[in-house]
Amino acid sequence: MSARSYQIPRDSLIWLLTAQVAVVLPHIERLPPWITFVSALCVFWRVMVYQGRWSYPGKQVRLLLVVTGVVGVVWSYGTLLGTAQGVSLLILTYSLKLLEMNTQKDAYVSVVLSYFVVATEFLFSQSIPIAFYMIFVLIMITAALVGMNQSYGEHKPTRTIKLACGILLQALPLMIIIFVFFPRIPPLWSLDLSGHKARIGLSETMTPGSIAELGNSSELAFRAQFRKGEVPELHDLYWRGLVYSHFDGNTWAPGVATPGDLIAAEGNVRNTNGYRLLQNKNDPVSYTITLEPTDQIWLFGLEMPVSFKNEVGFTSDFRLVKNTPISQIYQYDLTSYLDYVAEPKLTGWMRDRELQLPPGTNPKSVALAKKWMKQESHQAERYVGRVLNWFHEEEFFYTLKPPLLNDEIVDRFLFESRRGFCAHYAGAFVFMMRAVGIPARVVAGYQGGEINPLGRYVLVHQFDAHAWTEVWLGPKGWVRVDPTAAVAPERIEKGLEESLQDGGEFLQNEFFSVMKYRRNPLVNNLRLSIDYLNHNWNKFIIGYNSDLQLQFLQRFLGKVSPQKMAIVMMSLLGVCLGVLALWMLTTRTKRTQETVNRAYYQLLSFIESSGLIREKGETPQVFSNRVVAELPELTELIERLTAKYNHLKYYPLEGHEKEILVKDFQNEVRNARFAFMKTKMNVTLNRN
Amino acid sequence: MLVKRIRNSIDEKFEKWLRRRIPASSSITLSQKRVFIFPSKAGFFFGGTLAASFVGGINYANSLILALTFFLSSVFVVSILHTFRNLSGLTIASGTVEPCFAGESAVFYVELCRHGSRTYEGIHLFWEGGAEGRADLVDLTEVSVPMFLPANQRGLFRPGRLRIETKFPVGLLRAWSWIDLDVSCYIYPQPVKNEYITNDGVGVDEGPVTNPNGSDDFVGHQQYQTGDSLNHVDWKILARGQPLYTKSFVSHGDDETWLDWANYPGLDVEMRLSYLCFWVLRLSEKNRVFGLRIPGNPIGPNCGNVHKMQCLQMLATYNTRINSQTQTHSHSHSQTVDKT
Repeated sequence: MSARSYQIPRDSLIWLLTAQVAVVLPHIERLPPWITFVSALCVFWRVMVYQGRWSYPGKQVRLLLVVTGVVGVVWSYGTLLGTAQGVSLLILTYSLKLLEMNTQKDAYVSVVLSYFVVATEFLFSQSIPIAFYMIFVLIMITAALVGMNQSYGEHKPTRTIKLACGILLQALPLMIIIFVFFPRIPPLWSLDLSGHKARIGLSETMTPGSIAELGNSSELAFRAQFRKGEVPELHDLYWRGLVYSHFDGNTWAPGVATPGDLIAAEGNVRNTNGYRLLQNKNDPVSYTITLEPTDQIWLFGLEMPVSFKNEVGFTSDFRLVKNTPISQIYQYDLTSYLDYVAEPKLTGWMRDRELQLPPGTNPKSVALAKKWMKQESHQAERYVGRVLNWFHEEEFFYTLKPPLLNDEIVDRFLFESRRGFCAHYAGAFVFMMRAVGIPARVVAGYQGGEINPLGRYVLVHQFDAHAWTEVWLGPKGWVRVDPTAAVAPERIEKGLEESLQDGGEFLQNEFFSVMKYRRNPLVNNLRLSIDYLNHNWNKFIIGYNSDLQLQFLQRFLGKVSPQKMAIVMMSLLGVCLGVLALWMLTTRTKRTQETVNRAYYQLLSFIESSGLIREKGETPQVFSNRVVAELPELTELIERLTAKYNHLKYYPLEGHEKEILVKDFQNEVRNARFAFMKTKMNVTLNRN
Repeated sequence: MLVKRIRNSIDEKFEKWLRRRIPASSSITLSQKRVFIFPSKAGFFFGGTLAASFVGGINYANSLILALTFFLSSVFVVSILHTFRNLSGLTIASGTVEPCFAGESAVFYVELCRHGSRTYEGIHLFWEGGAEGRADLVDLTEVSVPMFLPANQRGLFRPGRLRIETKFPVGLLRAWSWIDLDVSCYIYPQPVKNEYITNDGVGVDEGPVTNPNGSDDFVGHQQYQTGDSLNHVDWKILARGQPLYTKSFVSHGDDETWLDWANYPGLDVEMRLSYLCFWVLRLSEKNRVFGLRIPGNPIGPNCGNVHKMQCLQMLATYNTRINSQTQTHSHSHSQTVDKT
């Protein structure tokens, strides 16, 4: 440690340390615990250094700490590459920087890094509470910056924070203008943010129990805002996401992809395969979906959806896929044809794909299927009806807690347990179809949703996750069949909670979920209001992209061109800065004389309450003498104040000295109120 | 060589330009055109960080990161105004000057004055080679900042331009100005102890022996000057309604005491001056009457503060026509420019 080491001003250090703790705090849930510990240790160490108890670590120790940190990150994550790892390293170096603050430059680096750490938090959360929390953190960091530049003599913490708030407040309008007008450039290179947190949601494969797990989560999946506010009936809301065509006897997985689908999955291909296969497209509904991060590439849309976004592809089994995983809130516009005919002519290889079954498994089910098909004289539609009817009539139960099944799961489910969630029914149904040569597949996504009366948009939660089936019926193409509807019609009509025979199953593990109390109108209204706020935040702030920007600016500026945007932005900024500069750079002399007069009038009003009024033309001195004669107990006070008033009014005083005297006079007049109140009380008492 | 010449010519041009823009004056109010502003090193680092987070915001299509970037950019823009405001409108004037001996530090007082409601914080003053001065004008409307400047060479010392600068409030920007306060101060030769050499060339350690209270004779009147002893004021003249006069005495204890340049043969100029300086101080301290004889400009025997100053100034400026302001200037500026 050098002898002439820089001493960061105390004020600044306090703000810097507070800001450091505050800025790391929201990261803690994602950081390996040891980094949190190191960060806390660094803050503690720095405090000890300030108090003079410890000294900064030596160069070797610091080097060792940095190397250990890097090794630690690799040890924790297995790699150094990736966003979460990068942020961990950043926080680590940022914390260690506290232990190397020998020059003013080090202190600046520390403060500027704080701003950067704030930015990284937004990679993981862009919620309203985080945004507002970060505003407070920004104030603290800026206060640290201001504190560094204040001389030692002028130290008042409130002055520092006031100035920081002032600067941020003045910057706010500029920020809003830039935010609205600055053109949104498409990403320079694509980045993968996924993998830092296990996400709840549908997975790429489906085992009988997998969707039931989602039944216990009240997390939001997405929101859908319908254009013109016309929301289709709840039982029509089948949000298609995934298609499972391959069954290995235990797990359902996506089928072999066509080359076209692979291209579609890379995005950039407009209206690929799927659109071509759709026919008789009627009754389109348009809506915007704001999808919560899934870390997956698939998108959800009402059957059958069509997207006109460049980065969204449409596969031959009518799935929407984005070119990159959705690791942040993603907003997309869709048009859906609720009335459609999909793929009335099935290609041979597709037919094979949708008929695949593991040979020799579940013999009982296969036998039953073949028997019934024969009885229904090989009429596919009648056979479908027969199976559905069987589900409906027999003792099948719809439950979130089905028994675990191994081997021959279809046989065991259909003939033994008969207790299952949508995935059981969908899987078993497709098996029964394929067993007799009817092309069929499982479709997974969400079904239904909740309408928020504020804003008329649909909220879809994880517990709305659902699996249904599609059966290919010749010229009718792919027809949606939902076996769950046969078992528990309430599920489709009213939602999950209503359909569970055992009411306690719903959100069993979420003790404090607000969803549980939605029967309480007060709680429910509050919940929906907050959601409405979040919805708009996501729509207009988080989702403010080039499309929305164009829409928004067109509404105010008419035709928008880049030049026009630049000119409007620059002139608005210019006006803001001009006003600010004018206000800051003009020298204002305080109107002390007015303040003095006002204070004197206040004094007169106190005297007036005792029944004495200053007459026209009566000088303050003469009036004072008259008052003293009437109120002898206030002689000293009144004479003193009158003398001060005369002094302030008639003696030339300059600058700071005068300001102090004026303030003093003002305060004294204010305090005189009590003296007058006291005399008044005495007078009344004496009278009595 | 060529580079040096080009640089010198650039420096000269800059100096000329600066002289036109901010001419020398003992009091100056910083107007808009006299204040320069540029991002500091920290400001550039801040800008780099903003660029990084902007690219992050674009690449992750993250609205809040972009919003933060725009917010911080706005803070930067707003702080341009704040930093600029913290210098413009300030009045700077030269205050008193404390001369010194070569090898010591001269003190120049710089007076700062604010007007109206505007306050100034974290003002830094620099003079080439001297210690940094700091000032705040929040509660006070005027401050006087002592600036210590080491003086190595005797002569009339003209410090170069004063650099007044501030990074307040956020340190991301630096506003500064160069002011020529048109001040100067005498740097006296460094006194060096030596034996007194009488006019006969005999060295006497204690100096010339005289009786200071002895038979000093009144020789005439001199107009009163600050620093003169009140004992010598002719009160009678004052009583007649005329200005203050002091009586001059000449000691006749022995013959006139002369500090003579010629008494130190063989020594180099600076040493002679240092020796003479020592005796000027010693004799003045004892309130003795003495004369100073240096080539070209002898000072007749006298005593008192004015006489002492006169002698010291004579010693300071002896043969120093080269010690002009231009030299000091361009020298100091070539370095100041480098720093910016």
